[in-house]
Amino acid sequence: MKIKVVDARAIIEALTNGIDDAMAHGRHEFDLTATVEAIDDRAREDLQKAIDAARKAGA
Amino acid sequence: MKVILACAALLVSAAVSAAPPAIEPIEANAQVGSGVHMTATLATFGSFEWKRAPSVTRLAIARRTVLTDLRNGRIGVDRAEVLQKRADNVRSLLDRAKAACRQDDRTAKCRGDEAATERLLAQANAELAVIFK
Repeated sequence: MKIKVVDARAIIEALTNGIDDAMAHGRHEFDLTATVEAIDDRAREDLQKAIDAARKAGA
Repeated sequence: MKVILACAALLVSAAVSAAPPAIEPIEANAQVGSGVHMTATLATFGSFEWKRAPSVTRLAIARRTVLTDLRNGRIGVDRAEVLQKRADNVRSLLDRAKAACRQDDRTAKCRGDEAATERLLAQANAELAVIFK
């Protein structure tokens, strides 16, 4: 099975985040789908805040 | 007789060394140490969840890149807004793919419309490639 480097990096990042989060909360397992979705949700929120701030500063 | 036995032993050892290395089940290794959580995760490798997860993570990376570019003045707020909307569209496609798949948590296989799932995933990845440019 061949895998793209960018996908492998993304998987490693998702797993690292999931493992860190699980360990921080004393859990022995984590939901991969929920983990990556939470990462995107946070990224979306941060970008939207920056867009809103830039709009406000420009107004 | 000793020579025959020695030859037989050599043949056996040659056959063993020529054989491809046995693939250890991931679950067996995962039980060693603290990797219990890996059993559940790696057992489903190649499943829909594993196909979709990199795309969702790449999407998050794309948003972070847009955020950095906006903060550093490399792009304007209008461009950032367009890219945010495109990213939302990709996320919507990925969520629709998840809904179409209806993955069975036990077997990690899609129970729903597999063709639609693949089509939506491919569409999302194509859109993602445009955002990454």
